[in-house]
Amino acid sequence: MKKISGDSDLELVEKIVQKDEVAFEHLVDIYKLSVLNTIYRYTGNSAYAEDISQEVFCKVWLNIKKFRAKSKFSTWLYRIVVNECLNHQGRLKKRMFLFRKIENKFFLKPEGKEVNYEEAEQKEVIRKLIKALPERQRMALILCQYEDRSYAEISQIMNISVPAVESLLFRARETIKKQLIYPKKEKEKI
Amino acid sequence: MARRCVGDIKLSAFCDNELPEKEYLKVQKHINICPVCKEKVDSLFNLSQRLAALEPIEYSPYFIGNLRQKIREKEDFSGGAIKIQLKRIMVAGLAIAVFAVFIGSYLGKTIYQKNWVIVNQEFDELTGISLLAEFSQDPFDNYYIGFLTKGNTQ
Repeated sequence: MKKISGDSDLELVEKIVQKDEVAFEHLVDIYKLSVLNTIYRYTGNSAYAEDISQEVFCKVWLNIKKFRAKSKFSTWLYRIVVNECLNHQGRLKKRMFLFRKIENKFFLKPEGKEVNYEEAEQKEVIRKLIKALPERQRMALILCQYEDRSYAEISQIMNISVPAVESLLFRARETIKKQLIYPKKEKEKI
Repeated sequence: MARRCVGDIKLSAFCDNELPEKEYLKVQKHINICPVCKEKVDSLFNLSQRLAALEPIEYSPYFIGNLRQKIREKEDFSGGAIKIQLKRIMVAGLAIAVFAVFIGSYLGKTIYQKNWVIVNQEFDELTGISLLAEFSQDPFDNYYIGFLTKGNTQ
């Protein structure tokens, strides 16, 4: 692939509006890893992550004209990421609901998930704890912790106020901290 | 414990380096003398380190190829030929429907009128009276009574 060096996001966007595929591939190259990992941390599934990130870049290509350059391109991109993640979560919930209905009707109920915190690797525990967070807390934490987004950017991406971001992050961290310190107690509560 | 402790949300923002400079320095000063807040900040940094242990994943080598294919499919469906063709088909269908309604109503009217004339004629031939003339107004008028009594009205 031909590389365009030194092009800023806005220059690339202008080229993509003119349907420049090389510029688009360059843009994908810049963001694909961070988009993929954000989605992966959110969904906890690499196959879903790749599928959703492709969906995100499809939307970028098809809707690039809607980008008004009022915010950074990355903010706009991450808004698409957040929307896609939330949509995916919704679809998954519906599917899980149907699956559970069938499972309850025809199969024996499986026993509650037993996570052995002592034996499990730390990464796996962290991944599970992040996945167990409520949707918005999870997204705010991922954007702040792994994507190094500022509170102002997160508030733009998630369409909420900065104090709301602060609150989401605080609650997310508190939940994870409690789970790490008292895993069994928290599990009993659930 | 030092004078008023810093709120938990503010401490979290402090760890993320999200406080304005003045506020940041204030909190830092407070942490240096307050063991409770210091412990909270330490635990937040510790958590941050543990969270950072989560390694990123790599994308598959087919990522760009699959993306290109997906875009092509979507373009074909959304912005492309199918959408335009669907619009054309819809417009043509609507035009045909309107034309059919006009033609149908015209034909229906004509057939109805023709049939009515034929029925009249057949009735005339059969009964020897003109249906429209005999039963034009009131079925109980003089003509009808005359027809029933064959002219003997008394």
